Amino acid sequence: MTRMFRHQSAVWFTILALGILQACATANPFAAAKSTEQQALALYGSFTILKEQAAKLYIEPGTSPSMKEALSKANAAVTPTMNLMYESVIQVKQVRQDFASGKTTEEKLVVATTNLLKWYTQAVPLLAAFESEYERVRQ
Amino acid sequence: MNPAILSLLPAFLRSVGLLARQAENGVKGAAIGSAVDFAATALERGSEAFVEMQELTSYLSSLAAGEEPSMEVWHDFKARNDAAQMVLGSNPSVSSR
Repeated sequence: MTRMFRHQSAVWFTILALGILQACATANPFAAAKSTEQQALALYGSFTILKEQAAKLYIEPGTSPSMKEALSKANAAVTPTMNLMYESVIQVKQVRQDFASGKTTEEKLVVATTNLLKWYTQAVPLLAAFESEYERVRQ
Repeated sequence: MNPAILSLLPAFLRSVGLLARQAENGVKGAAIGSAVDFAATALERGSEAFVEMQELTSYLSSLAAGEEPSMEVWHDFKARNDAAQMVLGSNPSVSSR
């Protein structure tokens, strides 16, 4: 009887885990992004969603001053790079528009896109650090 | 649903995130791993953050490979970011780099 119950629990757990994995696959913007700009939006969007969660935690009545300071520090470590990546995206869009209308060269577009990729690459580990610090503070 | 099983799921998802990092090296592997970690966190909170991650994924999935995200979407995230910054950036003991 106990063995049967365990077996049933294992089956239910597997079904549930598969369901959650499926749900997570639909909540993974990085897997859906194809181009550099799309990857940048996946990163910036995820950062914004996490930052909003951190801001909500910050203003919760039970959040101590040391927790607030930790959240602010973690945010301060990632935000400047994210802002630079955002500005870089705006620049790429502008250069692409100029290139399409013949106002600039393809070389400038390559430089702008390479610059965006540089900020993206720097921002990925910073977001992971922000996420883990948020997680640490929340627990 | 059994609370004991539910409490195990975030840890399970984090191990999936670790596997994703190992399966796909480099920046994309790290990014996918972070997203799975974040999904686990969002699930733990049972928050709207998970739904928002789904919406962002759905939007990106709807774009073709060469199609770039619209400026409206970027501006929307930037405005939300600035609003959250007003809260998190208000701590006097912390300054940005």
